[in-house]
Amino acid sequence: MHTDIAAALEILFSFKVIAFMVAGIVAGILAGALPGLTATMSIALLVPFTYRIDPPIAGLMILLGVYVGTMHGGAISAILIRTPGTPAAAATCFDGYPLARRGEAALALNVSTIASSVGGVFSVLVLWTVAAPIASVALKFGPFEMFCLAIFGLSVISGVSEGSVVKGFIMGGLGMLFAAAGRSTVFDIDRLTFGIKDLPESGLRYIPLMIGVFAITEALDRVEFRTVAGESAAKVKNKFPTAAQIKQILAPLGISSVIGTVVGAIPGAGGDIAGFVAYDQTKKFSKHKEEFGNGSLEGLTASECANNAVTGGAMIPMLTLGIPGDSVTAILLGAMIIIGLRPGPTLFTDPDPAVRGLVAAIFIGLLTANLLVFPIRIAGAPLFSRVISVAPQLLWPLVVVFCIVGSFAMTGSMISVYIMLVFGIFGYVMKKFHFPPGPLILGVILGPIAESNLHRALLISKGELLPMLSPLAVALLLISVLSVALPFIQGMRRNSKN
Amino acid sequence: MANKKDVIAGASMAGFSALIYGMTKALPEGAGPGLAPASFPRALAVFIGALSIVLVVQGLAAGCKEDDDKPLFGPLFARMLLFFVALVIYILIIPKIGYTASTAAFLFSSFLMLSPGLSAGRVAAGLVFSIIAAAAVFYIFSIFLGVPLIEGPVDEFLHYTVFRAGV
Repeated sequence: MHTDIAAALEILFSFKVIAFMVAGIVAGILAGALPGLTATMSIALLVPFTYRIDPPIAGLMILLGVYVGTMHGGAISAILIRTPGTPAAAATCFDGYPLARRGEAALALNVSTIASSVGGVFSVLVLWTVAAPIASVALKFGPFEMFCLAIFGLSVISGVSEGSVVKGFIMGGLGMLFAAAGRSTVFDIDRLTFGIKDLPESGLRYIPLMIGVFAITEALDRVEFRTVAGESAAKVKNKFPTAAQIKQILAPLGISSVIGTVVGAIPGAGGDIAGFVAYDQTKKFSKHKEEFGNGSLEGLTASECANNAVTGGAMIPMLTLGIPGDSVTAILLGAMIIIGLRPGPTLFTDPDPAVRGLVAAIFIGLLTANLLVFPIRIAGAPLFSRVISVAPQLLWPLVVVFCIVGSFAMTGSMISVYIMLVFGIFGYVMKKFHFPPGPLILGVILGPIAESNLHRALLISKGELLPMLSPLAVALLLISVLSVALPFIQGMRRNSKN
Repeated sequence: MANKKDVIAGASMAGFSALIYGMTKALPEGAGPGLAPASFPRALAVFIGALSIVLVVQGLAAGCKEDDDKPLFGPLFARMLLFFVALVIYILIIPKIGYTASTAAFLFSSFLMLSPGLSAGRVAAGLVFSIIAAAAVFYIFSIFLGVPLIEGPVDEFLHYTVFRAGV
């Protein structure tokens, strides 16, 4: 363990890696502050560039920096203009905006910085503690258990589908279908290519797909629906909380750190849910319930602390089981695969010191990003608060330009750009009909895992079903069924009550 | 009264899944105990097809939701369409004239399309922004990060004369 940490420190603490991480954090805060630029979209846009960076861990640190930065940045527009920069900051509007309206925007921003950093650091420490034990259990999984795990991951779709669960599962199925198209690594044949030659292999293809579905779709939507004037916000000068105010937010910090980490570790439950749950629980325990919704520092702290604690929590299933819990970790998982890491239980038992060093570097990197973001946000508060005034006629065309460069960079071929365009149109049309994009990404990532492991399991059991059904596999399948059925049952109960 | 959006979406998805199901018939069927190349895509086609039918039924049964009354296209749909056409043209001309010139043209045309009001000063500012942004993006990605971009005469000029890389 000590040698792993020493190796990680050697990898991480070079000027280049730290500089890239800081750049990622700043870019993340700026992107998070701009409504429409979510963590998923920002990371999808950056993956094609980061995988070329040497050493590869520097590229990964940019992505982790962006991940942490966007979760922080979402609070800025939520506080200043009552528009959450990211969905995770939705509950931040309740108390952040009233504080800004009574002239305490700087105080609100700095309290949100403190809360976000505490939540983030806490969740990374939990991740570091529980990752190896969970992975050691997961190591006992055979191919059929891995298939069941992928099915469990897919069952999460019921949780990440805003609106209709049926539409969410259709998108998940389409994602698996898109991942199955092209050259199959399992069967070594071309499938469902629609006559397109030189289709990039699945791993390289899904980055243009993600860029298209998230970024191009959002750009087209913004151009179609939003007016062109940039949002204006008051200039912000730094103001820090007093000792009494710090004392007041200590309890919300503790409650929300735990809630955020636990909610984050549950596949399908993201920062927005964590923020609302923590807000609600903190209000229940608060002595100043009447202040909630009118500029309560406790309410602001609860939301911001919880949505940032999700970052470490969400990495738990992704790193230990190789199963992403949401679209952001799905993209991060893809980025790790591109740089040669295979998230999953074997990641923690790899005898190669280089891999063990890289794993430790991910933990330390995430921790460092959560620590570095604090001084960056405090020092840059006046600057970050002005980013929301960027004119859309400059912003969205530039986002499109980055989409094209990013897609092209993956393969050095225009076919990736065409794929991005096709999926941009696809995402735009699906959005018109209220199909959620998150399940599509889960399907793209988990489809190949499900197919290859089921194939292997069937080969081992010689096509018999019964020998494959271990207690663990049955338990995973039952949990999956429950996870899918629960929203339907809740919906039916709600309808019968009404 | 039906939720038309769901009915249309469900019917289209059902058609797409039927198409995929048909395409899997051209794939080899496995003889061994493992999955055949056709099995997984075919199962997915059936899965999507079944859910699409559920969506159609739900749409027919649910009645017209409030959301269904909203128009399919936004108030600035024509502007979005123009922006999209500019994007397609941009993608098509990259291989012909190179990255920087096409990017500058796209940024400038988008600026003109999306700006609320245009004056001579604003147009000039947009033009300067487009050229500088295109050149800066080319420098950052092609030269600083080493991401290969399609080069035309303008890019070669920037690459070998202005930025003096690769000489």
